[in-house]
Amino acid sequence: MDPEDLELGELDELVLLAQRGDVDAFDRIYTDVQPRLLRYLRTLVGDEAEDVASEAWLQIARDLGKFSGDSAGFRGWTARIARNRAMDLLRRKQRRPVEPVPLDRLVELVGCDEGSEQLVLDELATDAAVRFIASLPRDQAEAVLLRVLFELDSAAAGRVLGKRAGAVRTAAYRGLRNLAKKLERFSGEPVTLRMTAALEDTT
Amino acid sequence: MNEDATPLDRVLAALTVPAHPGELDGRDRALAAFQEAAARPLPVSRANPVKSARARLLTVKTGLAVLCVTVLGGGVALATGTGLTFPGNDDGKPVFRGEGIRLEPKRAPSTGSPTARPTPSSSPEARLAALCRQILRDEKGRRDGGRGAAYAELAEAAGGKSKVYGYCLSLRSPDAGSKPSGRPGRPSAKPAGRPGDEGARPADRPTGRPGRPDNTARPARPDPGRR
Repeated sequence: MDPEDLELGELDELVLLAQRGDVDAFDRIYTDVQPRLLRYLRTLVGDEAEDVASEAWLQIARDLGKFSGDSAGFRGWTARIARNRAMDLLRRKQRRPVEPVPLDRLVELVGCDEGSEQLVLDELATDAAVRFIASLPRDQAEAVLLRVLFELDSAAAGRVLGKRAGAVRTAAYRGLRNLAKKLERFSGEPVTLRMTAALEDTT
Repeated sequence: MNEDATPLDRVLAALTVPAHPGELDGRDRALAAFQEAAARPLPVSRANPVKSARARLLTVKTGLAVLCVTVLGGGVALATGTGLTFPGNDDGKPVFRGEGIRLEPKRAPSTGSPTARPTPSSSPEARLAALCRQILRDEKGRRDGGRGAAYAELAEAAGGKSKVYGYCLSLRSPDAGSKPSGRPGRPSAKPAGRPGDEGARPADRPTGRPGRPDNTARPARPDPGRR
């Protein structure tokens, strides 16, 4: 499941088409990438995520012709552009905004047995998930988001963050473990770390 | 989602669902920026005058050599204007040295104009292929090729204007291996990316050329002291 359900090969082709000026291809890229950028940025700059994403897209549109690499590299490239913008903003603001986690919504999301499939599709559920992850220390939140949301491996995520792959792997692991621990308080049942296994590098 | 999904699974699923309508509010602005950028020539060609002039010369030579090798059924004339560029082929090396511009097919009449227009060919397939090459070649070829009766014919063959690029790419893919540049827009000097390493390193520095400040070119600082 991902924001546009684009296969990476398909995204690869769309990037190529967009580099030739195909506006439809760019539109589909936007639909695929924008939710990822926006959710990532919300954990970094809170309410200003939309403005920062908008700035990032101006740069993506301008520099698209100079991009080279495959589709996963493309997502990482867009994440890096957005992150640089966000860091500029954070340097000016001196601190990262902290948004309250809507606990009741989170409890509803994780505690629901019936209809949970519909519930996770809800915009409010996404908002709760984003805020919940934003409650992590920044390095952990970023590592989790780049691994899970952008589907980057540790090395690629490390290039976005300017860190080594091992540091990203550790931060993602800690982030997921922290999330799981917090969730145990809501759900009252032990939470396995199945997603951690899914996140292990295949190499 | 299956029944034994953990709470964490649900949170991560909610995190990664497709775009909500409200998340796409900036679409029009992004598309406008894209169209504006697409209307301009790629900035890479004016980054370094000396370097890019040399690259362009090599590119013209390479392009002409490629044309001579791959031209379908003959009868395709491409003028030898200096504006010819093959995006992404800046670092390409000519496969044939020394002959350069003289490699142009002699029996094909040149229009003498830098606007490379295919002359009428004997078969519709060759005509469409020639127009495709023109459209895929560069921004100017795209503009010039994107109008007229031949383009309408091409759009019809492709199944719609929005599918022209895909159609043209599919036309050129069978003989892509014989071309030095591989796919357009991709530097051929580098492998296309190893599994598990998304080729993001070159992507992180899309400019790679002096003379253009660009904050994507700056290595991201981890900001160790700041949360």
